[in-house]
Amino acid sequence: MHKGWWQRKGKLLVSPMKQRSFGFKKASATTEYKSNLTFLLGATIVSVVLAIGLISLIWTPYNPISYFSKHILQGPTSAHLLGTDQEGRDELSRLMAGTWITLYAGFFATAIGIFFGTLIGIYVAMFRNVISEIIMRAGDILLAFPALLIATLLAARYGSSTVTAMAAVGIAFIPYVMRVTRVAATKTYNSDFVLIARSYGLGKLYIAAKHILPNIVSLVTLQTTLLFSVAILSEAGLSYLGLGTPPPSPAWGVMLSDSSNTILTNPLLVLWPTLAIALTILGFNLLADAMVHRLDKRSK
Amino acid sequence: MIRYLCHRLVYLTVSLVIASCIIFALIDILPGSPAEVILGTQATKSSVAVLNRHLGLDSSLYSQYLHWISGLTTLHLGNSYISGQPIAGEIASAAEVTFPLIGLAILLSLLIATILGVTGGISYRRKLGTIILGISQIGISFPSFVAAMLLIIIVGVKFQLLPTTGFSGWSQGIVGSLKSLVLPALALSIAEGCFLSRYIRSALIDVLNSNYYRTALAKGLTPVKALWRHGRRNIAVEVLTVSGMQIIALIVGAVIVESVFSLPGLGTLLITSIGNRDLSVIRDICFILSGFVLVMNLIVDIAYHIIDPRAFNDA
Repeated sequence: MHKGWWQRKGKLLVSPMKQRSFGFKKASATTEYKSNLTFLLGATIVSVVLAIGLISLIWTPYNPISYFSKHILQGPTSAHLLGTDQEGRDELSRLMAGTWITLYAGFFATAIGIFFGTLIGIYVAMFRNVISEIIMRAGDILLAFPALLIATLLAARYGSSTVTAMAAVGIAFIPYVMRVTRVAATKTYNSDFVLIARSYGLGKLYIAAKHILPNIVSLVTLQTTLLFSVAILSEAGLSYLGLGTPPPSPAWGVMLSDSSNTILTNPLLVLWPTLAIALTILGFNLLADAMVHRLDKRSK
Repeated sequence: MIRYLCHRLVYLTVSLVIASCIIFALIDILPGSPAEVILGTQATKSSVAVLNRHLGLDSSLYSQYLHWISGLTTLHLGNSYISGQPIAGEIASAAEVTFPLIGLAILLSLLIATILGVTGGISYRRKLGTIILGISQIGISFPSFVAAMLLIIIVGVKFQLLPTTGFSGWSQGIVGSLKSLVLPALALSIAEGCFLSRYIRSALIDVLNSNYYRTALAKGLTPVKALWRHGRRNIAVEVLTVSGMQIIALIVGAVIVESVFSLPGLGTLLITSIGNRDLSVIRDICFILSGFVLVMNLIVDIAYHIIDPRAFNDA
């Protein structure tokens, strides 16, 4: 195939700018392909995880909570594909049941954080008054209370459960989402097209819904997907410490803390929940990446 | 600048006071009085009342709060309800483990983030960039305690390079103590570093595609010089905006990682105290951790204003 002068490698024919800069190349079909591949990979992992979670609601190979004391700490066998834990429970069944707990906890924690955070963030960006100032300061102070601290206090009050861990993580997300949203919303609110919209006498609510929200949607999507993985790992961390889902139920954090006692003799038991957590987070992160890429392209 | 600093210091003081109020109010909600826990289930009402008076728990909430705050400011925290040991000493020896651990983790994660972010950003259109993006993506997927488990299996058990449990104390030799902090710090910094590297990468790409960078090239600067002179502040601002979140993630991570590696730090002390319902210790640790976050946020904010002076106009 004939190559144009701009495609030849010869030094003199390539513009000096192109030789020197790291950037400035046309967006090629390769980046497009890469982004599609990322999306496909992420979507596959997420749907497999989701499918496993849904299947576990109706069927697992064994009961994930009941004990088979005869088969303690068996390695992988044909009866127990991933082996059994120190209580003789089937590891595969526990992993499957844990998937649902993880997804459900991650979803509600993220939803709490994103919903309230975005709403408050837009409000603070659009109304500069005493109330928004108080909200910002309150957010700063709330920032000093990590999910762990909130979970500690909630668990002490209501007993540790998936719900307290979820609420703690969700509340801890609010100030971040609020801050990030506020910065982006302020930028949009100060832009010329919003000024024009305001000069038309359009209402604040209309401007927020029609002009500000669409412009920060990619940011909110990025936050949602990133926070989803943070929520998953926070839930696992909290239940590892005993501040989340309580022990008999097979949350991945509980499985990790159970198996960490036998880490020297049965490292495989640590490996399964580890891989499950890492793979789920990877899936959501890949999906986030691809979604952000698409949203960016549309806005250009 | 000085005006701004004064403003921020006043805010910090007010925030600390409000945070202490919140902690005090929430801790007060905790079920079970310390006296009942100390005396056990056979305690009679009168013995509980006597102990309450002895511990100062029968006075009004207001005077209890004032007592706590004055203790905090003068560092006389009293003795633990449960163990009877002076709290200040327990916390100080735990902080000697936790804060070096967090410091080491910050350094390591910045190192990882810079290496991955800069190489990934410069080569973002090439194969290398994709590979590095993939590496950072996988790195983020290993949260601290998960990475800790894997590091224990690989480095500790298989190759036995570094100690995986315990902490000998700084008086027993600095090298040995640092060695036992390396694995926990690495476990903490893998995910944080990879997370940060993505922000560095995207900020770098923004710079590479910006008009001012093109102008700098047209003036005849080499790419490295142009990036250093015109890009470094823009990239640093990106890093700073997410670093507040990073610090909190590091603190929470440190608490969990300490329990994985059984280091005698603030996290371990907090978890034990929660188990014992040792309210005074929980209260003090919560205040120290939230105060640390507030102070670090202040430092981040000041750094932000130094790097990007335009931020003064928004205030």
